[in-house]
Formats: sequence, structure tokens, C-alpha cells
Amino acid sequence: MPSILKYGLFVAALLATPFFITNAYYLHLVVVILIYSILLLGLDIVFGYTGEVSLGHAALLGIGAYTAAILGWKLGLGVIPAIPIAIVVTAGFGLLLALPALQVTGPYLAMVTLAFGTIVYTLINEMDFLTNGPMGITLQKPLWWDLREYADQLPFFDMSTAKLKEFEFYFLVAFCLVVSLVAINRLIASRYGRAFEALRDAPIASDCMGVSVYKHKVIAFAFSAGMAGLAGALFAYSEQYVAPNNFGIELAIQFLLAVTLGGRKSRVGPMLGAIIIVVLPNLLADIALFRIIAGIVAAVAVVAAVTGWRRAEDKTRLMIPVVLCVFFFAFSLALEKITDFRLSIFGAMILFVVYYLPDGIWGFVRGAIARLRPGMMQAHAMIEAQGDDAHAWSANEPVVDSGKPLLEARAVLMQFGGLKALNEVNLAIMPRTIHGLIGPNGSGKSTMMNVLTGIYVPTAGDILLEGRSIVGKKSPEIAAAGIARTFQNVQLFGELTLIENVMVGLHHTYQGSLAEVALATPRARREEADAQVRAASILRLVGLDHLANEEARNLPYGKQRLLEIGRALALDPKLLLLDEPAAGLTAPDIKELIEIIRKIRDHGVTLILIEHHMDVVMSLCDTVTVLDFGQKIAEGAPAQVQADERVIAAYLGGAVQEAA
Amino acid sequence: MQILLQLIVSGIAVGMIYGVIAFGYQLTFATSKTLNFGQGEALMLGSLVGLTVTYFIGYWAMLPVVLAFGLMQGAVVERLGVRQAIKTKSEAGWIMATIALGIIFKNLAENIWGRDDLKFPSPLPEQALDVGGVRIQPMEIAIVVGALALMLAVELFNRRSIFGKAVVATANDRDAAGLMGIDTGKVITFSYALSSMTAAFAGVLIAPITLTGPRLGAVLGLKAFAVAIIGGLNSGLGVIVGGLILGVTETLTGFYLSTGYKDVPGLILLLLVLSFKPSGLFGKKTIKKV
Amino acid sequence: MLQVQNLVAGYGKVRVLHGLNLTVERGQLVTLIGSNGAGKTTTLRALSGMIAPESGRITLGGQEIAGLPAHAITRRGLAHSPEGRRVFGTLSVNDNMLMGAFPRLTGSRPKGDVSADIDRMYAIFPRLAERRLQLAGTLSGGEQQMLAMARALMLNPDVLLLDEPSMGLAPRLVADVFATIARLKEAKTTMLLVEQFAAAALDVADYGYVMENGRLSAEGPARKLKTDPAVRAAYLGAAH
Repeated sequence: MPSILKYGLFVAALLATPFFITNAYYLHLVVVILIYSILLLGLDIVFGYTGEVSLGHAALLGIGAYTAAILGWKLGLGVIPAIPIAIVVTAGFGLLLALPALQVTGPYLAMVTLAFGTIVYTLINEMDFLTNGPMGITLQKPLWWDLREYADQLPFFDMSTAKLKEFEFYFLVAFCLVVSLVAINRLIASRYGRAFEALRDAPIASDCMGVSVYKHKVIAFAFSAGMAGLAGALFAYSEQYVAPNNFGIELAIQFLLAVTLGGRKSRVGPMLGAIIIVVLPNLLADIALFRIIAGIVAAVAVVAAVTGWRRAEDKTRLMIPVVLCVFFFAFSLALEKITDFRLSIFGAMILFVVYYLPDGIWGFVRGAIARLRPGMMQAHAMIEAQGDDAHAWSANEPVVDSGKPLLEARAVLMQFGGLKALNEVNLAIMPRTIHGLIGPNGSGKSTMMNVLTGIYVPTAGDILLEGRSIVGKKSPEIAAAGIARTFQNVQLFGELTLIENVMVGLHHTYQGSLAEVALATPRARREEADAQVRAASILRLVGLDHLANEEARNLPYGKQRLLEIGRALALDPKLLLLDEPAAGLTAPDIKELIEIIRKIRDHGVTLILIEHHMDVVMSLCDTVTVLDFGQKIAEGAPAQVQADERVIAAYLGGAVQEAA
Repeated sequence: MQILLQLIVSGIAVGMIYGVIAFGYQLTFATSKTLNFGQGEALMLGSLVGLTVTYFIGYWAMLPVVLAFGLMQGAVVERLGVRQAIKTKSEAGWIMATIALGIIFKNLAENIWGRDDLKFPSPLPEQALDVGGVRIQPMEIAIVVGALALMLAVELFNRRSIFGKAVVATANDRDAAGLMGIDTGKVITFSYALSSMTAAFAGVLIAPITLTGPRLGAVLGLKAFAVAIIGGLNSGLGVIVGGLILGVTETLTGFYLSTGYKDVPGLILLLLVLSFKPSGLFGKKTIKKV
Repeated sequence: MLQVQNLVAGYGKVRVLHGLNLTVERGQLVTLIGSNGAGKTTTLRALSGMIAPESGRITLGGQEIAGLPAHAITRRGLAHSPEGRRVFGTLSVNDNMLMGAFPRLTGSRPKGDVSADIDRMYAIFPRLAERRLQLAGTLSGGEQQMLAMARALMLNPDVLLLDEPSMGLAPRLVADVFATIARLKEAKTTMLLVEQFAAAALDVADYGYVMENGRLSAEGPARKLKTDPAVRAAYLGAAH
């Protein structure tokens, strides 16, 4: 379905809703659903796309709500000016939260956000002078600025007391939601969205593609917090009352449940989740209704189990959820006062989702439809751009052969504890050559790669790229300076498609800012279209253009290595480091690889090649350096190195003489 | 000066409790790189079960019962919340599952023991001792002794017994431990059991000087995490020092600023440590592998 | 003793081994050689249960072990000294040895005389005896390799898998490692050795398999393989 049609239907449904739901209570519920949708769409950026568990979003909602409430209480400002201010203030707090979050991930980050939530909660409670403490703040719905106090001086300014009716407020919220949706869709489809997923799937590779994990996590948090601020301001005016208890940890957990249950990494999922967490407490308030629903769930589970029984491989695994559902139904019958067990039911739902619906309802539906009618449900936007030979290469002038080394390593020492992984190694890589780096396993080749790309900082020694030292620079800076690499253990962005993987490498070709992306300015569109053509061209070069819209994690091993080379090329590197590109490749694949590497060299890119397949090294390299035990033991033309006694000894073990 | 000393002494007792709970985080983190986000609830359940059991058989006889209960509760958490997520390598999975279990435990406790705070009878005289003008409650001494004894016992088990060494081996390298014939799945279940046991023990230690109730756990769990981070998740000494730092800061803030802000400095300390020294003040940095 | 039929294994959706057949007879030293990325380490990991094979049969002394978890396979008598040594850094050398004997000390394998066996290991690896109370993490690379082998041997295994025992060792230490392997062979230890130093491995082995891209490309008595130009080419490249 084209996206214009989808938007149209959605907007039409939003417009129609208040004409069908005239009951004020239900309309208010719908408003809350829309507000939560805004917040959850923002949470999904952090939770779904960058993969971090945030327990701080209830607090961020609170900050947005209190910003609006305090503006109203102290200054008489109305909802319209409160919205942008709340967004900016909350995004600022998001930046603050991102500060420790930059250093850590996973459980640490979850706890950090939890601590953040607790601090905010405590401060709102304690800072009476600003927040009115546990009593909360009551507020009206003036549109612009409540100036009644000054009514005498400003008799003509009658706008001030204009207040929004519930009905009008609904449209304001609906408008905000649509704007948020558009902005988020554009963000996710842009290089920022790709960067978020890249840093989740392979942070080190992301840094080495010049996409700073640091910077993009901050962007994700700030954007997500801004959405929470918007939701907060609307929430304050929707409830017309804010109090600290509205924004406790329990709510943060509900938000996570909503996104997971609805389905991460989608627009529909968080909105479904919003409906569920708003409607659920109302459902749970009515025990008769709850029993009926539990009964239906149990019946569906039993029917599904009976029909699926023959096909199921592990019958006990199938039985467990069914038994649980039936048990749950029995529990609902035995229950007398449901509100007492509201939280337990809520906890049980989280467990159920974690176990049986890890992709959420929407993920499940999408999967089911994809099985029935392949091609109908795309998890990724299809990129149809066609590539050609001309666009595969950078428009930049290739490096000229000045007779000086492009890269020089001077007495590089890398020490881990007592172990000298690199012992004062000197390297000089001449421009437009292929420089082989060989040696037995554990001899320090990969360590050298990591030192050159800023993953390790050498203990001593210097590294010069075109005469400038790069020691101590971070990986993204080194990538920007022109060094790209592949990894011995392939590090692709698994959940991105092939073409998206390459486009992450093209991150540096964009100039447009975040705002331009959200507004879809002509420049932002043009850059995206250009990048698509280039990415398609690069895929063609490495022979993967027919798989452009497949997810990278589904590729066979050999193709993954080719894709990594393509991704690295997208960086328009001066120097390309290939770490065992031929490992695990079949003989025809290796032939193709050799061709590709030659083409890369012919286009003016200098290469360092770590490889165990000697025929590859011998046929490609201009110079070969041999490392053993962290030391350089030989260097020279391939044939010369191949005949070197020490090299043969290092490779075949001491006993080689008899063998030869 | 007198007041300052008094505050420090009170801070030490609370700090040791934080230290013990944080020690529990370390146990599971070492073997499985996961933590129980419901650790506070394990403490709360321990103290409430302890309260009920004390009623029948008295405080001292209650201790082994509560320890056994803690072991069991921890094993349940691991089995229901963590095992599946470790298999599927889903970080969000175990975080959310342990949070969910925490919610359920708290809700159950509310339904069994009610929502109000309950008084926990002290097994020792409540008359404070006067040491050079500083008043020390006997229970505070018991807390320090008990906490240290428990950590020492676990440490001895790990160093001396073959099963303890198997736990250390699993913590070092799970795959390699599997190759030694060690059932590392069981070791992880065991570490969760042990972790909840220390939390339950902390619960019955602290309850006599505070109150107990379903809401006892959440903040304690979070602050103990702060301690684990400040001390370093892989440093045994760190949690004691971290606990003491946090405990003393808190009593000082509570006295000189306002009790309302009592929880804030510890959490800010947590954020600062994570911003500038994520491996903790005493933790070891690990080399990232590529 | 160890028999593998049509073994298929890999990581996630990425398949590394495509139908492998190999046999290790009792008392034999078999070596598996091939270039990096050929699938040697994956083979050993599938054998010892570190990864679950997709399909195929693995029998140890006639018992089917494919699909069992690693600890269960170890308890049936297969020891694996993994790539990269993987000693327990915060345990002492002596405790590392005890861990190797874990199934014996906890009743899932015949106990025998554990402390006598530890002494026997110290006799084979005198360097370790000097450092028995030192933490394993503080040992040098060569010492750690000795420890990894000693630890695996403490199981009294029916079959010992050795993954790249020479990796990252200085040439003199490599010679030591191979000398030790030769001694173990004399003591009739059944071994499957994965090595990058093909010539050295073929020198000590009875039988060899050559792997390429997850498949066996050649096999035969070690003596024969050693003079096979194809094997040499796989390593050093044919002269151009």
C-alpha cells in the first residue's frame, strides 16, 4: 500500500473518531491513547531501534508535563507556547540522561534510566516552590497566554481567555500525533535511522564506518525525550492536573510493556501498545468482562493447540502456554476483587510477551502475513535504485603516488598486561599498492588492524597517515580521515538490508541536518537518492546487487565478507584494511574476490591485506610483511618472502626442512 | 563532631546492608552477566516471610528458614525469568522478565501481608549502647557482623569447595567450564539462589531497625545497584567500600539537607561513576575483543 | 573410538560444516589441518557440544553424543582443550587441574587417584609444578597452553581434542608442545589434533585429514600426506 494512502486513511480515521465517540469519558480515553502513542513512538527509537532498555520515560513524560504546568501556574502561558518549550526542556533532560548512557549499555543503562526516574520523581516531590510538591498543580486550557490579570491595561487583547473545548483539544492532540508520525517515519528512513540500528547490531563496526556510536545515541535519546516532552505537555492539559504519582516507575514499566507487546521497530506496534495499556486498567476494573476475556483467550489457546498438535515438534513446549491460559481462566473465576491483583496480571503479561511474543502483536501479524503471502509485508522499505559502474567509485581525486608512504607505523608497541602483542613494529605502506600482512595465528596481525583503526591505543610508537599522526584519535575520526576496514569475524549490521549496510558506510556523504531530514527538504531528498544510487552501484561491484533488499544476517558466510568490503568502500577510503577476506570462501568466490580487490587498487585505493590463503597473497600483493610473535621477521616482494627460511619455519613449524 | 560520628555510625549499618545486596548482584553477574532487577523484592519477601516465621519460632530459629526460602525464590526467578533469555541472548528479555517477576512478588506480598508497613520485633535489646558519646544500637552491630559473616561464608565456599570452584570457573569462562563437565546452567541457577538468599538475609537484618512492608524493596534494590556500580561489579572489596560510602553520604544528606533528598546523592553518584569510570572505582577494565 | 558421519554445523543461519566424515581409532593420533576459516575449530566445537550440530551422527565409543550439551559429553569421556587456551584466570594452577577432574570428583566418572594424576601432570609439565599456587591468569602464554592440556588430561579422557596448541607461542615453545604431544601419543592417548603448523602436525600424527571450506579435501596416513604437494600448496601457495 503506498504510504500516502496509509496516511490518508489514518488521518481520516482520526478526524472521524470524535463524531463516533461522543461520550466525554471515552473521548478522553482516546486522547490519552493518542498522547501515549506519541511517547511510545519516541520510546521505540531508543528501545526498538538502538536496542536500549529505558526505564526513564515516565520521568521524561513528567518533565514535559511539569514544564507545561509550571509555565501555566507561574506565568499563565497556555498550551500552544507550552508545547515547544516542553519539547526543548525535555530534550535537554534527555541529553543529560544520555551523558552516562553514552558509556554503558544493557543492564547498566536500564539501571541508569531507573535511577534517573527515581531522582526526577524525588525532586518533583521535594521542590515545593517550583512543583507544589505532592499536592500537584491544577491547570486550565487557555490557548495562548492567560492575561486576565492585566485585562485593564490590555482591553483589546481578548484572545487570552480563549480556552480549548475537549473536542478542540482532541484535534490538537491528533495533529501533534500526525506530525510526530511523519517526523519519525522520515527519521527512521534516513541515515539516522540506519545509524541507530547499526550501533545496536555492531557498535565497533559502526564507529569504524565513521558513524559515531556516541553521537547517534545522544541524538536518539534527545529526539525520544523531545517526543516524551510533547506528550507530557499534552498530558498535563488533557488531565488538567499533574502530580508526582502520575509519573512513577510503574508507568515506565508499562511503557516498555506497551512497546514490546505492540511490536518494536514499527509505527503500528507502539500505537497498539498505547491502546492496550490505556484500555487494560478499565478492563481489569470489571471482573465479569475480565472473566469473559480470560475465557476467550483460554478457548483460543486450546483450539490453536489442538489444530497445531500434529505439526508441533516439541509437544511439551506447546502445552505450557495452553495450560497457563486455562489456569489463568480458572484464576479469573476464583478471583473476587480484581484490583488487588492488577499488578500481578500485568507482570504475568510481561512474562508472557517475553516468552511467546518477543516480536509483539504486530511482529506476529506481520510474520503470519509474510508466511501466507510473501512480499506483501515488508519489514524494510524496498530500495529499487539501480547501480552502474560509474557510480561505484568516489568522485574524489585518487591519492597520487608521491613516493612517500601513505601510512607509516613507527615502532608501534601494543602491550596487554605482560604480553607484547606488537613489539616495536615498523610499517610503511606506499600509496596505490597492496601490502600483504601475514604470519601464523596469534602473531599480531589483527592487533595491528585494531591499532590502525583506533580500537586500541598503542602503548608506544606513532602512526602517521599522510604525515599526520592518528594516534589517540577515535575510530570515527580515523574513518573520516580515510581508513576503512573489514573484520576477521564479520561484523555486519544484521537487521539492516544489504543496501542499507552500504548506505551506513555512505553516512559521510550527507550534509543535511536532522531538521532537514524531518522537513524532507530538497537537499535531504537529493542526498538520499544519490546515496541509494551509489550504494546500488557498490553492491553491483561486489556482485550482490540482486540481494539488495535482503537482511544481511541471512547471507551465507562468503557473501557477508563481500558485503563488508562493499560497506568499507562506501567510506571512500584512501586506505582499505582487509582482515582475512578469503577465509571461508569457496574457490570460485576467491577468484571473484581477487578481481574485486584488483579493481579497488586500480581505482587508486591503497590496501593492506591480511590473508592466510597464500595464493591470494602471492598473486595480489606488491609488498609482504611477515609478523611472528608480535615482531616483523621479514618484508619484501612476495617471491622473496616466500623463499625466506624464517618465514617457512614460522609457517610450517620447525620440522619443515625434512618435508621440503 | 559528636553528631558527625553518630551519623557515620548509623550510615555504616545501612551501608553494610547495601553492600550485602550489591554482593548478591555480583554473584549472578559473575556467572551469567545478568542481574535480578527484582533483587529488592527478594529482600522484601525475605523480611516478610521472616516476620511471619519469627512469630512462630522466634528470630534465631527463623534465620535458616528464611535462608532456605531465599534460595528457592532465587531459583524460581532464574528458571522463569532468566534461563530462556540467556538462551536467546535477549538482553531486553531478562531485564523485563525479572522486572515482571518483581512486580508479581510485590503484588503477592501486598495481598498476603497488606500494604502497610509492619514493625519487625528486634531480637536484641533496643537499648542503645553508649560508646564515647556515640549511641550504637546492638542491632546495628549485628548487621555489620552478620553481613560480613555471610560474605565471608560465600567467599570461603567459592575458594575451598569443589562446587565453589566450579562457580568461579563458570564466572571466568562459561564455555570452558562446560568443557570441564560442569553443568553451567545449574551453576547459574545456583548463583541466583545464592543471590536471593543474601538478599533475604539482608531483609531480616535490616527489618528490625526500619520497618518492613511490600514497599521495602524497590529503593533498596536500586541503591544497592548503585553500590555495585560504584564498587565495581567484579570487585568483592568494592561493594563493602561502596556500601559504606553510600550509607554515610545518605545519613549526612538526611541530617544536613532534608530526609526527602536522602535517596538522591547515591543515585547521582551512580550516574557520575557511570559517566566517568564505568568499570567502577575498584573494578577492572576489560579489553574489548574485536 | 570417535566416529563422525555427515556432520553439518554452523552458527545461526550460517553453515560452516557441510557433511563431514571422520574416524579416530583407539590409541591413534589424528590431525585435522587446513587454512584459516576452513572449519577446523568449528568441527571440534561441534564434537564437544559447544555448538549443537544441525544434523549428522557423532559416536564416542559407540554411544551417540550429537546434540548433547558440552558438560554431558565431557562426562562421557571426551576432553577438549579449546582454541585460545581458555584457562580459568582467577583460579590457581592447581585448581584449574582440579576443574579438569570435576566429573571424577563429583561422581560422574570413575574417580581413580586424582592427586596422583595431578603429580603425574606436574612430572610431564615441570614448569607448572613450580607455579602450582599461582593464579592461571598470571602465567605466560606457553605455560597457559601447558595448563590447558594438563587440565584436559585430568579427565582421563577416552578422546582428547586439541585445538591449535601452538597458537601464539614462540618457536622454542612450539617444539616443546609437539614433544609433549609425541609423549602423550606414546602413552596411547587417543587424540584429534587441529593445527596450523601442518608439517609439524603430520610429523607426529598417524593419520591426517585436510579441510577446505567446511569439507574434507584429502585424507590419508600422515606420512603420505606430508609429501603430498597439494597439502603444501594449500599452505604456502603454489610457486608462481
